[in-house]
Amino acid sequence: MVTRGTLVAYAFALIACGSSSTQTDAGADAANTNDADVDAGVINVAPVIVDQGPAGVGAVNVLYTTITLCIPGTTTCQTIDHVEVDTGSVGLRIVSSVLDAFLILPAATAGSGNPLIECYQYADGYNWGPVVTADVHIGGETAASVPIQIAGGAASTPAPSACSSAGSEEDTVPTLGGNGLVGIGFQAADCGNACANTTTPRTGSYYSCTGTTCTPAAVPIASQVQNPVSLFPSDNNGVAVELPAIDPGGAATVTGSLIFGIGTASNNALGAAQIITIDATTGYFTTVFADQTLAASFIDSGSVSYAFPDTAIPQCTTGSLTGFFCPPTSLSLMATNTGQNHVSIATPFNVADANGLYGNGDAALNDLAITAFTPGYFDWGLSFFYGRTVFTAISGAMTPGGVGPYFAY
Amino acid sequence: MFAIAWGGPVIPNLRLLLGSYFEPYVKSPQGRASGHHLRVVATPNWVVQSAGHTQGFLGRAWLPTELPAGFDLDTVRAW
Repeated sequence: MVTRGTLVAYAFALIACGSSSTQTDAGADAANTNDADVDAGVINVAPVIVDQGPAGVGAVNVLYTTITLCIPGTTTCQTIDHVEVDTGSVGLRIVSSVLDAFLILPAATAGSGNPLIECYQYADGYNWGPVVTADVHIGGETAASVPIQIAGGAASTPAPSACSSAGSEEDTVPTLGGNGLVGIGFQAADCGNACANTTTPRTGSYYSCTGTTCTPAAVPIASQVQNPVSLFPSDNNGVAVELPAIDPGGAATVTGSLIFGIGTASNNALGAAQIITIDATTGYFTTVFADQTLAASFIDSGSVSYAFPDTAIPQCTTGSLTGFFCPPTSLSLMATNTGQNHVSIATPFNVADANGLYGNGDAALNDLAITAFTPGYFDWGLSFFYGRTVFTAISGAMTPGGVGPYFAY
Repeated sequence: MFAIAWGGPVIPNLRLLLGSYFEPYVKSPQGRASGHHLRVVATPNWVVQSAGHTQGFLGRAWLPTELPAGFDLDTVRAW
């Protein structure tokens, strides 16, 4: 059993070294420890873990990795563990309170010359904080001068109403559920054209701020917070998340691999995986389940469970589990996922009693599902990833399976 | 108004849409549906769900006790 001690050792190895070549060795060593599929010398792998997260978080089905940030062009670096791995968002965000005082990262400015502060929305809330640049090391890969966000780092500049109206602020370790979050979804930049529009930049995204006054700012796509994968010198067309199968009752912790690139190395070939292409704007494909056509469906390592509409399966009715499915016996179900390329994948999955699953105290639960109160979608969250290799291809990137964006498994 | 639905590249201004229900919504504990692509707050009198991933958000809110008799809530949908 690999424990968190392995990740800590890995972190120290990265801290201790100054050059990219030794960091490559460190990453390969750690990968060897964590995943039998990884060969020595392979640099495109970062170990990932599903555990309870930073102290006090008590996470379930949250995937974490370790990232090293450096002041661009220097060896002044900090290694940060328990950064959430999210294929459902884009961009690296670090909670300001975990940053060491010595890691002074250069701040980005808006066209006005004022500090550039971003509001980044998730379905459940938002991050508010300045954009800075850093060299980003994940596994053995390095992306140089990446625009990232420091969540909660806007000092006394409050989030504008158009930002805070999205939900709850998630700029602390407990509210974010990690020390940071790395969004490695299907886009290269976290907003795109809507935020680059110089006439009417999107509200609720990027702001030029002076004092406590902020106005929406137009930000060129390359200056927006970036998917760090797309800035790697190679292995930059997408990712594969590889997690082992686990017991139906769950597992205390799970370790696996975040592999960079698709078809770029010996360890990331598509193989037998089938590709379903997705809408380039929304990232949606269609799931057909129980005679329902769910046209806003997506695969997402940042969701804890399956989420889908169903009125037949009994739901838990108690406290924090309200809405989760609680069938008296585990159910073997089948759905079909169809891409815009008309490829369909028959996809079996299981749903077990959430009450029983949570009762074990495990951090990894593979048969966990919650009802979708909103019709029209099926969210294939982290439950789906156990026992699979799931590929996410970045929009516009060439891969042996065609041009992204797509999912494949 | 007793039910709304939304869908699009950004989350709409929920403070405006939810009115007096917004503050209780954002202050409600996340429960076990943590992760950043789903938030559900279900009370006997009001329900809000926000879901989705980057550039593709969707959600619905409704007042269970205010629904007209026989009303099919599934007709309130953005997708």
